[in-house]
Amino acid sequence: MSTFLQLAVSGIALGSIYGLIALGFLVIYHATGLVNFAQGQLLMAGAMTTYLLLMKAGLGYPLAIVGVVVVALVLAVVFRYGLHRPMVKRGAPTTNVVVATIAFGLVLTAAAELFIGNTKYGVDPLFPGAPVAIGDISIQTQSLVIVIVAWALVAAIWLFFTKTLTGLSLRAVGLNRNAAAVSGVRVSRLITIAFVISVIVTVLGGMLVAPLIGAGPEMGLSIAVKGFAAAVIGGMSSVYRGMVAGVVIGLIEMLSSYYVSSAYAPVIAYAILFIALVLMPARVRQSGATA
Amino acid sequence: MSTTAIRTQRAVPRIRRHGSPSVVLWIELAVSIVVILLPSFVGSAYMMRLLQDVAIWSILALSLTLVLGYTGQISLGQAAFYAVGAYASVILQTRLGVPAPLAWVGAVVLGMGLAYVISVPLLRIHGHFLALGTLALGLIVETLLVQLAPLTGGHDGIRIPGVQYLGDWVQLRFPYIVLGVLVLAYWLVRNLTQRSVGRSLFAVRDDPAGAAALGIPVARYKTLVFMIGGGLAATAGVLYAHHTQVVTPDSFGFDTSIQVLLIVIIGGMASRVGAIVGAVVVVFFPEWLVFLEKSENLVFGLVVLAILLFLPGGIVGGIRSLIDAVTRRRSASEKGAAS
Repeated sequence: MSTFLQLAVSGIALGSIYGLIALGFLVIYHATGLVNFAQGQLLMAGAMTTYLLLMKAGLGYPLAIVGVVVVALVLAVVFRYGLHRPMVKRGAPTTNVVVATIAFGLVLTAAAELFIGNTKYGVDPLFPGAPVAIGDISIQTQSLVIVIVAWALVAAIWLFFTKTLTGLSLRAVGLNRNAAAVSGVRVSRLITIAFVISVIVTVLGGMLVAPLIGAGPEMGLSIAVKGFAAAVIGGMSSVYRGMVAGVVIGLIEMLSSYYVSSAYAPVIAYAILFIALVLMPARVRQSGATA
Repeated sequence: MSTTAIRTQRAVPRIRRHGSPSVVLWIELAVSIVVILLPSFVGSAYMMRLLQDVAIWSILALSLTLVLGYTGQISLGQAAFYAVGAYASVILQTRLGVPAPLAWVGAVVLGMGLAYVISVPLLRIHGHFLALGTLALGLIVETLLVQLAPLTGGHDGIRIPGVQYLGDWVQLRFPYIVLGVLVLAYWLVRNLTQRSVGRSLFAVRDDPAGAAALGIPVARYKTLVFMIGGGLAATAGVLYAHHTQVVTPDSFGFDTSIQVLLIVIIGGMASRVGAIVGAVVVVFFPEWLVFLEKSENLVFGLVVLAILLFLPGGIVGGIRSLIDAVTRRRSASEKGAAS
């Protein structure tokens, strides 16, 4: 039983990260209808920045957090104004924009590999020290930090989308861009805000997960795939459903790697994405913008 | 307007042709013959290897061009079919003792079969979620190649010495086979996309509902294209296995699928010639630009982003619009002289 609980705790922590990826994915998807394939690489950028600032530069966590947020802002602005907006303005087909997100991710990975090298680096947790013991199981402090911060972020974003004027306008943009523009919503600016939120959430996810699994240029893809799966299982709609789906996937992954086979655990996670996509209801497939 | 409605390529690129059709046909025929005979002009073993690399990547890129360029479906899993082709032909020959020609046909049929089986659920996935689905497929196959070690040899892969399985005579002339298959693949894609089928495919790509209303069997065409794409990728896999004489999981991962995508973008989406031009660029540039060393990937990624931003038609699209601009100016000046 204690093994089970121990695995469950790790699963929930890892799954919360998948949920954050799903959250970042959904925010852009709802605002623009764009499937952003650079999610995993953005998370990687967060983890690598954390490593550089914390371990290489020796700054403490407070400064590192500031640094990571600054990097996230820069990435979001480059992504939106350097790539997305120019392409949309030139009337590029969505297929090309989706491919461009893949290329953007490649550039991020290649840059990280070039400047830091293709290995995995360890990162210190936020609170160093012995794991907390509750009964039979011992919990790493970082797992607790991940769960608390991730769910706090989800709650904040949910409040933003339901209680603030900006958030509601953003939902309006997702539902019907022309109607929103006619109602006086500044569509372009709001889409930029969506990019900023999405990138910051994703990059912070990288910062959170780095102490748990390390930071390396190639870490993005496998996490991103599970994040995409969480978004799809959550119905591509509300942010907290994606988060719950992320936790479920994290649990399935940890439990299946112990009880079934660690070699085939990734296959199970990929198969979940595939099946979720196939079973996705037509309503979601054709017009996902329901906030 | 629903913002999530799938917008695909707007213009049909191949309505206006340069030169009369028969001239283009003769050029294509002449170039095809030259391409098949290329190995006899190549002296060094090094160039011969690069030539075959280009041909194999070209076939892979043609398979993606068909799927992405002509029906607007993003496939991030072409490496899965490539892997099936390579591993099936190798396993059939080394483990089951099937003679080479039979094993090759069997491998291609298996690739098409996988594409067919996969297309049934995949056709339910719309728009850009298809990219996610094919991504998952590619990753599953990649993991299985490593994990099913008794069958696939795990990380070490399987060796298939050419002389032993093909014989001296064939092994010596293998480059001709590779380039011959490339030419066949080119003509297959050409004939498929230039006839009414091709125009139907453009209709499916640009407006599936409209195409269905016109009586085009959308689902059947999508399945057909996906199967032919899978078959071509499997063919490339068969050639790759015999070209390198060893198959390992590294060659069939996510990176390979992405590499194919880059080739198609660089050369030009929805362009047969573009697939080959892109393969030439991707294979030869790293050889020439050795000074880039480790920054090669970064430079390539940036080049691809630049092409997507400034030259959406890729190299071939750029050249085509350049020719368009020149001919238009000339015809305009001729008109001016006449009046």
